[in-house]
Amino acid sequence: MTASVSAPALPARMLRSAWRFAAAPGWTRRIGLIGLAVIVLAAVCAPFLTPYDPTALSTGTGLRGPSAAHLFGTDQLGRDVFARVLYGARIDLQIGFIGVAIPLVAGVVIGLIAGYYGGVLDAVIGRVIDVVVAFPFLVLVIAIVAMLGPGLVNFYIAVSIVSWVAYARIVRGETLLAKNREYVLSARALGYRDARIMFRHILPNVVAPAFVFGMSDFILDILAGASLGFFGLGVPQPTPEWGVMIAEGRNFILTAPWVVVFPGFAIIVVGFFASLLGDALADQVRHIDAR
Amino acid sequence: MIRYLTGRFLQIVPVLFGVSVIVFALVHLIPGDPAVSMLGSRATPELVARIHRQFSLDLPIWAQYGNWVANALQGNFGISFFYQADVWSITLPRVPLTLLLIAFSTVLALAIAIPFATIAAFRRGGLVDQGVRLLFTATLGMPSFWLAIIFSLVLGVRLKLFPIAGAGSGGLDTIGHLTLPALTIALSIAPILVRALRSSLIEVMQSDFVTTGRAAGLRSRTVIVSYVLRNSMLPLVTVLSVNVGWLIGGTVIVEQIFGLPGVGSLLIGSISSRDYAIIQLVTLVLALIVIVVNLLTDLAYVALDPRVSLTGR
Amino acid sequence: MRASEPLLVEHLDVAFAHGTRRVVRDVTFEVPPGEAFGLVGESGSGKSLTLRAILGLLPQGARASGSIRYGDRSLLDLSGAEFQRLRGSTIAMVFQDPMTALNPVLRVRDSIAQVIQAHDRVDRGSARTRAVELMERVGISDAARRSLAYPHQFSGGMRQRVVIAMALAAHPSLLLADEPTTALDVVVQGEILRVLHRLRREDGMSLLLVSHDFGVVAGLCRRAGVMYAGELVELGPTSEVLFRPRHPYTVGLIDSLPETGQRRRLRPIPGSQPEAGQPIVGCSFAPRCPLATGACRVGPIPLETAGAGHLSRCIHVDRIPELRGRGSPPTGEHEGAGVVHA
Repeated sequence: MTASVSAPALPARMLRSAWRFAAAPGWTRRIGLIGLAVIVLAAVCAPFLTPYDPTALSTGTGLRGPSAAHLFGTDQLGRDVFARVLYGARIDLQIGFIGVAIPLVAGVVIGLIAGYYGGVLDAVIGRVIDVVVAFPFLVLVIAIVAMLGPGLVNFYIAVSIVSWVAYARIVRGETLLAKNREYVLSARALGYRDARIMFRHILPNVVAPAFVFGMSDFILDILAGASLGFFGLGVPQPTPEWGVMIAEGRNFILTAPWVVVFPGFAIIVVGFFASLLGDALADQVRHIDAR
Repeated sequence: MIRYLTGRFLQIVPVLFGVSVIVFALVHLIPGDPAVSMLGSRATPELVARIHRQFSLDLPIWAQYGNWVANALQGNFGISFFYQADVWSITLPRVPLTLLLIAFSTVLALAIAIPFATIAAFRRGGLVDQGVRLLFTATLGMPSFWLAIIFSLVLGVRLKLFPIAGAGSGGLDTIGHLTLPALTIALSIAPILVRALRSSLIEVMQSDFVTTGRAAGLRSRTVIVSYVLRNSMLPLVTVLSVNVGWLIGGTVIVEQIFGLPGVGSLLIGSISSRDYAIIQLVTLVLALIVIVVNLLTDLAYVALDPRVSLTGR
Repeated sequence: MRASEPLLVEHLDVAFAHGTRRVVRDVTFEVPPGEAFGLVGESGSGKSLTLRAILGLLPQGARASGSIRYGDRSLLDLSGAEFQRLRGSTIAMVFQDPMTALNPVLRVRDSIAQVIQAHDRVDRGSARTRAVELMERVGISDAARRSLAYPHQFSGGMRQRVVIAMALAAHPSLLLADEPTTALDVVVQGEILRVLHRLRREDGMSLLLVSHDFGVVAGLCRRAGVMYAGELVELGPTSEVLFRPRHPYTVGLIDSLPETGQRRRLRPIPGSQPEAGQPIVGCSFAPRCPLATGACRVGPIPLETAGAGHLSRCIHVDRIPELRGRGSPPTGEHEGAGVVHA
């Protein structure tokens, strides 16, 4: 066997692309990146940022407004809202990341294979995609979670079953286009194995739009997770999660709005930074395509 | 036209088959014995056996599916223990309200999105454009349930601007009751619509034929209406149909929070009562709505774009 | 149609980025009423932008300065509303790519009729009738039936005829044509050029034609200008510029044309055009010019007379015959254009 072609391994290339993307100029991407980084950092360092235990009940200090002692006030059970928002970020951010990661990997691989091999395999996968896409995302996730039972793991299972199709569709389309490009044709003429062509040659060139979609999927997953939490289908008590917090504080909106407002803002803010980042990524991908 | 429609219906058949398989399979996701889960604390060996018979749970899976489809085609989707009535007759009367809410929300969403997108596109790069983009990027992540409870308690209870519970008594009263819910749903998808519409407007405005029109001395109004807007209709229809799934998701949430007797609140309510048959039927109905919307979109394409003919695709 | 007036372009500059990137530099030429004038140059020479500046259709970020006068009207000072009245009715333009030039959702008859109604108070029925007549004028057979078609049902050549019909709909006295035949195949090219020639003669309309193809310009225009790197480097009667060029770039351009009936190596001009907008000291062609001397790179080179009605931006005009020694003078034939001298 001849020596392998000097194409650097995919993970290294992805890291380099990510670095180039992050370091490039542009306020949109910087604000989005820094904003998200700050939130992730805050979630990770939660114990250092607040002295309170998010699950500690404290009678007598319920429904206090924001103050120096309690930045975001307290909820009806006396728990510090700021602490709950911070610890809740751990859950909700996790929902976003894992909710994207699994479907992305699965969908990209399936889409790649379907687009590359074509034929019956592609027809079948295409049909499956058509069927799953016919269901409203949230409805199918709710239905699956209703069957499996509440909880974070079941939520991930449900999301994975439903979400991979979008990624598969995107990558399949791109792969179909890429299949006829010269670099693929020459790779095949050189006798490379299919798997190598797919994962070493085609994949790096088709995966960018999947990541762009991943950014908006990140927001959608957090919204879905929070919605399920709101309806009691999410994490069990007393773990803080933004949707659950909003549900619990629902009756106190008029008397103690901070209980509901701050978790809601948290979701909006995460969505905002993720959107900025997604826009910057989309612009970048568009310019690469135009070259 | 008839030939086209029959052709399209034939295309849908495999999708319908797949959808029915998934809906059927939902119940089999339940860990353990579905009959035991359904009955919960009421489970006794006789009731469990009865459920097994009713749902043919002892047969091999494909036979179960066959039975299920055969029953479904006759309108028999099972019995609800909670309501003590058959699932079909519980679900069906609630569908019109959900459809009305979906339609109302779409209209409101367009009423919000089109003006903002148009102003932003025509003043591209300016302060107004930046402001619109900022506003609708920030609200992309706004949860509809959060907005719903704020609206219902602040605008409904405190300010008593709109009724917040139930669907009213038909006609104008129902519209009044549906206003806040529809507004909530509309606001949650407006950001997506505004961004996509603005984008496609800008793209159309930069196309060659618009330059031709301007060079020929057409009045601005003619260019905007006949050239820019008419060519942006198609992308708008596309964006709407792509996001109908999310619109329906929002409808489910909002129905529950505002206490509207549609299929969405039925779905959520059936989760705690473990009425799996209802969950199945509602999921099926909502998927059918998506499929019908996609079909209507295709027809809209034919009507809007002379390049798309009924025969070719 | 009002009688055509002289178009006078003087010291026209078009610049991007607040004037730091000049892509059209100090261009001066004239199109007398009823005459045809051609601008030749490669892509990036600034010829298209010159045309767009006349009708105020420059892309975002571009600013024009200098003077453009049509008759006694100064075109650089017009407001948006004034431009709208001027376009189509006085000065009209035909663009390069017919495939994307027409509104896809309108029937061709309505595209043309809208232009008529924009400048004239007629009802839709009369406008549509006139549209059909215009389609016949530009050579579309079976016009009445075809007018109901949508652009995607027409070939490129037919679409270009519709574009020309739209341009003529309001009886302009000056027609600007930006590479009107470049996107068409050779046979159709000839047909479109014949249409333009015939219409011009019938209406006494002035024509300003821009092309990278010398043959196209030679077929239609009495006078021509050669543009390079945003500047006019040569200007004169077409036959003179073509057969007795007075600028090394023009010589190179003509020499590089493949000739029919002659077996000869292709002779491209070595090097490439400077990037648009870069500031240039001295002659812009000097880096590629076989006659260049130190004097060529110092200070701006003015346009000087080099013959009757013939101007050149070269200080070594007298040495041009040295270049012409290589290879025989072109035969004046160019495939497809059909020599149709004005």
